[in-house]
Amino acid sequence: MIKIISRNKDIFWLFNWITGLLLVYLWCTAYLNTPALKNVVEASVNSFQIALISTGISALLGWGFAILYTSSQSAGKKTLPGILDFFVDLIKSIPQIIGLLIFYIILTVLILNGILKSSFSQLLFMSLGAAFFTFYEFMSLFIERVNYYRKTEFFDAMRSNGIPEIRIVNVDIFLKNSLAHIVHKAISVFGTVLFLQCSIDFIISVGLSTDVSLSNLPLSLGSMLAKLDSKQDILAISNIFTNPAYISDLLTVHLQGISVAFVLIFSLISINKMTSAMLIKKEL
Amino acid sequence: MGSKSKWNISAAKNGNEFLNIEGFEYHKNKINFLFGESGIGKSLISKIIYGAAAEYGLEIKVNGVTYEKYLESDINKKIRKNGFFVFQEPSTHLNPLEKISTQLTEGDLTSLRNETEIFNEISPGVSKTETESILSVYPKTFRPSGGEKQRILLTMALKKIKIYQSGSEDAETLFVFDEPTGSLDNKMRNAFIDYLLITHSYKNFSAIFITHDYSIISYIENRHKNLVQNILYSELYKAKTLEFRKFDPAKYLNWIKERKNISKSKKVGNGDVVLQFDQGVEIFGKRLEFINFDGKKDERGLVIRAGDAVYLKAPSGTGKTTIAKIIMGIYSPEKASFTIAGLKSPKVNKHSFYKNKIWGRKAAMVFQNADESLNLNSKVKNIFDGLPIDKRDSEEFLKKNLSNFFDVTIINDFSEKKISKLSGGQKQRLNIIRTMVLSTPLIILDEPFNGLDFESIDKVIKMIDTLLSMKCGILLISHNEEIVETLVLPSNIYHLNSCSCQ
Amino acid sequence: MKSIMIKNFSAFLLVVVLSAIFIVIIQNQYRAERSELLSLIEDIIKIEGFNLDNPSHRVMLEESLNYQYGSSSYVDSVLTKLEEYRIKRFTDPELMAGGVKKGITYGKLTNLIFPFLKFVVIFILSFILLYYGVRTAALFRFIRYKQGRSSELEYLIKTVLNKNQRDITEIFKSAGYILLKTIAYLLLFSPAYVAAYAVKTKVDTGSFLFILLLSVLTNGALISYTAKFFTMLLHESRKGYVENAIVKNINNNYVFNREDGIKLKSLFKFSKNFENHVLNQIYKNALFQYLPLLKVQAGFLITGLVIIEMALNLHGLLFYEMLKYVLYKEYDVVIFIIAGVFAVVKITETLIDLYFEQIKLKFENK
Repeated sequence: MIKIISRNKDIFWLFNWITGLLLVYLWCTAYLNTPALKNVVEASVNSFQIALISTGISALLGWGFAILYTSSQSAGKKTLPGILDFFVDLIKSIPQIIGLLIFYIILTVLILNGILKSSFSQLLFMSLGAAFFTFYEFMSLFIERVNYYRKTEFFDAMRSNGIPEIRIVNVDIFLKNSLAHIVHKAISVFGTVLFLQCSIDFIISVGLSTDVSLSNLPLSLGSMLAKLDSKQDILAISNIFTNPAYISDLLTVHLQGISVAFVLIFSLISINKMTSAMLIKKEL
Repeated sequence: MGSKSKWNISAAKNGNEFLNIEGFEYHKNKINFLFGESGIGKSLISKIIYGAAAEYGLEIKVNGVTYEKYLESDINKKIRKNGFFVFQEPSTHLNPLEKISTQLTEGDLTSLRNETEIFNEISPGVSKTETESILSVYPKTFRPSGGEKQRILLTMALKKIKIYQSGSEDAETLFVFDEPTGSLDNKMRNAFIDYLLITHSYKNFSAIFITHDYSIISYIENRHKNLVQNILYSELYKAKTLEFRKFDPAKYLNWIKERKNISKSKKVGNGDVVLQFDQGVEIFGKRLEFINFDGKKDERGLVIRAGDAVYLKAPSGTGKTTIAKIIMGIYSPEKASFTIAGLKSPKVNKHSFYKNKIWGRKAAMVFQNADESLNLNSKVKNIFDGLPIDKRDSEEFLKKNLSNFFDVTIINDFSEKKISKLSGGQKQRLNIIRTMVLSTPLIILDEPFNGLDFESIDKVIKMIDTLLSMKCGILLISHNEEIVETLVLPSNIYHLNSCSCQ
Repeated sequence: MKSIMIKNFSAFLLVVVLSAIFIVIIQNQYRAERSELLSLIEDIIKIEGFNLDNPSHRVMLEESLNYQYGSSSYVDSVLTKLEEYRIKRFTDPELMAGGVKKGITYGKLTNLIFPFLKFVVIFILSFILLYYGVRTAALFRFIRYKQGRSSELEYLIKTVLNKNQRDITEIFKSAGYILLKTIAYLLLFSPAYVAAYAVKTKVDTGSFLFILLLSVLTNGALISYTAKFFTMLLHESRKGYVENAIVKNINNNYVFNREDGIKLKSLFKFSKNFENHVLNQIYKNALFQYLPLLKVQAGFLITGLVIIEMALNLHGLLFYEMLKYVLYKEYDVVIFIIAGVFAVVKITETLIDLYFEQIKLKFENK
């Protein structure tokens, strides 16, 4: 086990990430009051859950569109790939955060009109929003993989022997030759969604805190950070510039905001490190 | 002069040793031809000896010392200072963002400016103006062509040889040519061999010449008999371990003589026509024409009958594979008319025509690069997965053919092997078996002898004979003229001509 | 070139048309809402001396209406609308004292010009800064990688565990380096709002320079794209042409400031050139691969800037203004701003595409 972890940097960082989160949890159980601890845990779980569901939806959407795209390409059709290219390009040109903001406005309307009542349906809608602005990452990857094998003799050699193209793409290319690429992309999209979703929650909680407030939305790391007490905790960080000993206060008195920020940043670092290590190890 | 240089080499990745050879040798100041099937380790061993394997992140030992120490040794420093390495893949070994003329005059190649002359000497039929035009461009996928790119890399090495020869000392040196003629047709190949052997005779240098092209032996025997004392043939082969041994040229010369005798007894086939390809193909702004064995444009075009093999030959880059891909519906030509097993190629809805009626049913093709054609992450037993055949029949077929064409004793163990773990020759045979099982009326074999050693070539020939006995019509595409010409009747040899449409 | 222009322009045109349609729909909705609100109460609120905020006036009005129409649903509707109107005068910008017309107006557009220009200038400068930072940091990392430097943490552990030659200065140096690197990582991966709040009491977070630095250094912009460029360098370094350059004995030593090594000065220049060194070929090819990625980098940067401008909650920043309009439900203004940002993205993409195409044509011998 130790050998595997020390030899594989990606696994090393996965191990680091999980250990880091566990340590934060243990530390918080010692120094954080129960309601705050409950909130931190709930926010973390919700954020990771949204990121995970969103990554799943994103992968499915990306796969679906890529299949549509590549099968039209194989059949020599140009219109559908052209249209897909155009619209994906259009979505790519909308900054993801603005896209998510639009989704949140729609979400508010749906909540206010009583359409989305359960917290799970809201969570699902939030995931869908993030997936809509990240699915093209998967789509590009899937298309890129197929095109890579089209450029070599792989694709033509198989289809000219009568192997169905849909099988070549799904089994021979994606399943047997692209799993590392897909896992790598999934980790990277997970990180992107985590970042975007926390940012939009923070922005909305800070900037739209009136009757349109989405305070009824599931708690996330972003909305936790936007809470007044968390913001005070983060503001306190600057004290260590003048008084380095203040770090002990940060880790005990200001623990709520600090732990939320740490969970978010440490997760982003670990995810990035994992993807970088995978890129080098698997020569993706 | 001519002393042996012996090497014990091992290489490992993440602690797993994957190469180990004891007693590899090359003779100093001689041209050492090295045969052996692809993937066996010829390139890596040569790169290790030359000092070009430092970037691979491998744990290498050379004659008992670490690679870092070996690179610091006097002998290796001299090899790198005076020698050159011509890499196998010409298309990836040129910098796409630098003009070719710049690449021919940088680093050690700055001191001599004879690149145009050298390139011209190894490119018969190419004018100086054409050469200058080739050297003035940035290398791209189709321009210069594969053959031209190969000659550019060879020019670099030959320049370095000239630089070495212009010095007075007999220093340690090594020139490695890794498959230097893979993209050259026979005319260009011979011009290069002439240049190399004659230059070598002025002032000897050590060279390792890695190749699968056994017909070079015949050429040297016929053309440079007086220089054979400068040449040695050897091969790498896999027994239980990787072994090095001398290769006796007579073995090949006798074999080819025997094959020629067998071919004389072949008879003209009279089976059904499985391919009728009319004259007048136009693609990529070029017109392609089929010329028959007596040098005339055959009005019938290209005709293949069941149980017959037809050889389509042409200089590299003319469009042999293009014709194959047109037949298989992979390329859409501006103009072409052909019939496969009675089915005329349509003008519209080509994709569904091929998908439903041709691929794996009326025609199939074995592509030249087995490494690319097969799913390396599959197991041998899964080679037929997805093919339009009955699964039970295919299992039987696989067992039978594995025992016929592979030297494997335990079929079940072999079936469980990952394809990536097979040798180059095994992969190529598996590539052919995958198409064989379909027994379609038409089978196209594109460069079936690519990367094979002598034994594997013999086995592939047996596979072709089996296909013919199954009444398949075969279209053979190969630059290995000497061997392929023994497989077909002279009347079944077509030359492909190309000219601009304008 | 033409196809790039057509593709980008048609996308832009589509967004403009869609935005215009939405704006018209939204504005019609405003009018409909307003006339629906005022249709029943317009005459009442015009009554001289009538004060809607005065409870006794409201009671008097209710009694008068009951007297006139009886206790009917009509009276209920009038009273409901009046109450709605009364509340909206505090929340609806158009009905507030000195209120402005709801939706897009000339005044609002003029007020948005400066924030928009500020946004564009910050974007351009941060884009250039990021482009420089990414290349420099990635090259530095690549050179260190080629120098065979092992991880500092591994080195520290080895030094600490080495009982025979435990060098305290080395341990401190190494630990200091790790500490600095950790802080740098925390900053580089930190979302901009966390970094900004962490220094808010010490730094003027609204300053132009701060926003500029924040956009480049935080949100993972610099670190992510450095990693991408580093991977490209690594990928290129494994290509055949590099092997070929090495056998031509072009310099291949990665030690800084050695004759056959890397000049540190070259590393820090904006336009980088490592003459007679293999790195030059690797770098130029990696850069060529990276150019199309600049479009993604631009999109990422804009997302980061939007987050910064929204999260910092400062007047005069474009996206703070946008949030305000979201709050007031003036969605036509929001759409207008989004269309403006889309235009910035599209112009950037077009320029990058054109530049890349021009270079590509050269290398394609056209």
